[in-house]
Amino acid sequence: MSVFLQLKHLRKSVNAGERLFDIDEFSIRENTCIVLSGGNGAGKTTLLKILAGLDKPDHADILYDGEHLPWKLAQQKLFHDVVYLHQQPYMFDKTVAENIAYGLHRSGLNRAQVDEKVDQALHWAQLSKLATRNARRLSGGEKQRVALTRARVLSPRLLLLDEPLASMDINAREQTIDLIKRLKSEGVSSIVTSHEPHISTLIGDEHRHLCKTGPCRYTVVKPFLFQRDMEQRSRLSKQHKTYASGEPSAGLHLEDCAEHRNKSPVNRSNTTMNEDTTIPKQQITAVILAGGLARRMSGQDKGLIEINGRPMLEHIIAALIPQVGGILINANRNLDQYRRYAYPVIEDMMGEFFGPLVGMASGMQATNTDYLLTVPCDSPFIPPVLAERLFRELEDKQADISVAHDSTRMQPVFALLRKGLLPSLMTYLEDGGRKIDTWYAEHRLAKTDFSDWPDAFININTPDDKQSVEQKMIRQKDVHIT
Amino acid sequence: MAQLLDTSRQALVLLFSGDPALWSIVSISFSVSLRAVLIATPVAFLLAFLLAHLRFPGRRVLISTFNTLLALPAVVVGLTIYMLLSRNGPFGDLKLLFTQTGMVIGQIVLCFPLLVAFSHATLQAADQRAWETAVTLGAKPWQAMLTLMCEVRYGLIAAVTAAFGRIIAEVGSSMMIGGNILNYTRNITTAIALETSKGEFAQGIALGIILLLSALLLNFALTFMQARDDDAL
Repeated sequence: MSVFLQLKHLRKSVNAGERLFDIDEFSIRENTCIVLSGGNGAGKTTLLKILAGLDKPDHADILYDGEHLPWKLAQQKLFHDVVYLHQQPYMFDKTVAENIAYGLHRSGLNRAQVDEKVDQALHWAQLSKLATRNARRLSGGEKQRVALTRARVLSPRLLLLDEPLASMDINAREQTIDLIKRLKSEGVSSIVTSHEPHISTLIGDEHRHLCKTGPCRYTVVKPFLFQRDMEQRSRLSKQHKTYASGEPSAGLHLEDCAEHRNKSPVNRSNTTMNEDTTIPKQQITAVILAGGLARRMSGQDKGLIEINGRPMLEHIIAALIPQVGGILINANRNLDQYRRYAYPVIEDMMGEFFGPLVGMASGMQATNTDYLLTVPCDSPFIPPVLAERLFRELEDKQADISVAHDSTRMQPVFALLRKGLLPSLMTYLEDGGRKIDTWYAEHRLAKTDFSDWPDAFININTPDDKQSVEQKMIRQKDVHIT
Repeated sequence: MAQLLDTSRQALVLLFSGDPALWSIVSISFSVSLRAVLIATPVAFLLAFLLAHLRFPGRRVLISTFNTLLALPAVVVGLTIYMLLSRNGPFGDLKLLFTQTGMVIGQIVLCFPLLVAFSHATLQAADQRAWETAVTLGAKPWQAMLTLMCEVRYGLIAAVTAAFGRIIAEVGSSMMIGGNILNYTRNITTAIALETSKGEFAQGIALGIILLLSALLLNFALTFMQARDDDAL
């Protein structure tokens, strides 16, 4: 998939010279759907309007099909090849059919050809019944479909959809998402803006984020979740299928890990857990937060530190497998080593090393399940009842977040979160918030007592910790064996 | 009171008896004013569009000027054009004084600021998305402009109606430039002025009724057109 449109050094100021964004490079490839997220006022719409030729950038080096073009020429190309759809699509004060024919009449076709194309398009979008209605009188979802169809008949190379799913009911959303997918299958590239980053899991091949705050001020941030190669994608989709069918996800496990699972002492203690619990295991995805810097461990990647001959991550995975439907690993370094575990490895979606909240958000964005269980990568003694207990407390208290508590203090990274929190979390992060406690405080919090699991929150911060943990683990193993 | 009723009765008799002198006056009025509106409208719309969509130095001054010219008295226009067209004036050689063409020019000057000001307000308030949607769907700028005007057609039609109403009812400029020549430049308003000064109130009232009725018909037609558009779709 080759890049057909590339903008470099794209700068745009709004009134009074305030810089709206300054983007080093923005490339659009053939047959690719880019999801563009960002808060209010981050410049999503302005960026789309520039790409449509409707708004003039202060500066941009434009490469179109590998050709450097000055703005005036580029604008002509963009008018011809790109169609922009407003957040609330504008309907001409005409019938649906006439709206769809609008662009065709101006493309040099004769009346009969236009009529034929319009008929086909109406059929394609299942709008035939509405053909003679005034487009202004349609519902929001129907207008969106007319607008998509009106754009499609022109066979554009790039479609720019500004918040196409905002304020729509579930039916309308599904129909619109379906149309977007079909457009993609017809080879049309698209950029979809959204406040809801998780729609990138539905339609996006790539995900870009326009930030307002933090080090990425007003620029498109690069390390993105869905900028992954095709191979990785198919692996993820396979994984999701596995979750859905209810098969044990260990099917995709590397052999040595599966073997390890059987031997795992923590796993064995699983037998003490009530088997017919009602917790919706398949609806819980665990994310192991291994994206930190580990300064006190002289920068050594904590998840990969060996404890009794096995990387810490393996101990944690082994403890989580019986508890959850799926596992994600959030890491920013040594990705190849993390990928060995055949679980999706997700990078922080904004900046790098911004702290656990960004890892949580990235995890939430990557899953389709209702709940997200977060655990750190440096606490090897994960209680086998972690997910269950957090879930029960969450439901009992009807809370948004259930967080572990060890009788003296809260352990914020051991938590179960509802997926619906993602927009709130994104807003908090975009506004520059990084503190986990502050964000938790904005929500209904259930504190779940784990004082009967004193080892659960032991973590490894220094080389000394590591030794004591190793000894403790050996002692535990002995206890289990005897 | 009795006199008023009597003259009104006479006026109605005049109207329905098909008095040729009366209908000649009416046709001159309409022909002159329609020509003036037809010539002024396209130019005024284009100018209004440019004022609404382009940003150029002097734009605000121009808008204020047209708004001010709304209050231009018809006699002042008449006087100015009289001076310009009179034998000694700069355009005296065109021999347009006391002609219908001269009246048309005067009425264009009168209705142009009104057309610009009203249609500018309409186009300014038009949905920005209409223009953007047209352009992104491949319309050339002039096509997009026509689309935009079509979208706000009721506002523009209202501007034309108001402009026509102003010039068909004005008397000052027609009187001075046209000269009130029977069967040539005598229109409804100048005729009313003349008949009144002669004490012939019946014809004056008859003409007044025609003026009002025509305005009524025009507005009914517009309202029905709009209503039909609203219902049909």
